[in-house]
Amino acid sequence: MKTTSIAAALTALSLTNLQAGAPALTENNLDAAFAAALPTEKESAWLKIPWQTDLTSARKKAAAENKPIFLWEMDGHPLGCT
Amino acid sequence: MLNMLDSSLEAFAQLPKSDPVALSEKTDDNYTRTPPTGGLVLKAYTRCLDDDLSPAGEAGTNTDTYRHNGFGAATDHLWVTADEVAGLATLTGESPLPSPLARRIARFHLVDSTRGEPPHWRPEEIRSLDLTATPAGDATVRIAGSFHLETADGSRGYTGQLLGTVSLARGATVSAVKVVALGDHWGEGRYTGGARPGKTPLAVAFTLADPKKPADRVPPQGIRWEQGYYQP
Repeated sequence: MKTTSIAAALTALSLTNLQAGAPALTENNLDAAFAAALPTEKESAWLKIPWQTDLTSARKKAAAENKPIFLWEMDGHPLGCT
Repeated sequence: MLNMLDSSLEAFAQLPKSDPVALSEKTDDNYTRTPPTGGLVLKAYTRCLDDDLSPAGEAGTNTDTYRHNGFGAATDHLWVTADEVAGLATLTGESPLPSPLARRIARFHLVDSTRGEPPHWRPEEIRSLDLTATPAGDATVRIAGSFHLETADGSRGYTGQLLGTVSLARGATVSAVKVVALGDHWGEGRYTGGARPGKTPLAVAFTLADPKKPADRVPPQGIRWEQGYYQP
């Protein structure tokens, strides 16, 4: 019985830990939550490159400047990967 | 990666000169979307957080599984129509956020996009959505409310609050946006495996984009069906 009680207590503790979750959003923690979600400078470094998002425009520009094109792409829907 | 770029540039330099190929100007309307005229483009950044609101884990890719670990800030764009912006600018008192805008935010932007293309919420998966807009003085509108999004079988969900401000400049243009959703998310989609177990904090921050930048003109992921995006 004692073993069962301990097991039940540990299970409850485990569930409690899993379900601690997000604090309520208030005016007091709004700034912290907002800032935490923003990308860091390191994460935004790729934006320093003046990417073209239209392949036709990129091909014209590359041809005019006699430069190759570097494609950064992935599979999926053309409108589904931002 | 740098080696690949260097070798590619070297190979390109060795190519014989060729005449430019004539390019077609024709575009496929199925894949052409432009930001709403007179409307608003917002960045929507999503990130997994710890309970103390610090970013969870380290951004990057798991080198053992080559799977994105989902601990970076994911980026999407929220498009708001000119009429919806005008509606915010002419508020006289607390009002429900217009349903199309509120449902667009909920269905397409309150999602866990941190590990790739997430499933968007079906209409019936909006269990509750209560977002209001209130004039807050100094040409500011306060956005606040709560949401509960959950699949029928309960295997995936997101519940929490949304709070922040929209600042208006002269001419009813928006000069700043600072709105964030915070709540507990659980579950994963077909293409977004590897979610943290249980219910864990997820934040979605909305801020003003600059549509002059090509990267800020990338269409929202949820706009594959344009009418469905604007009238969700």
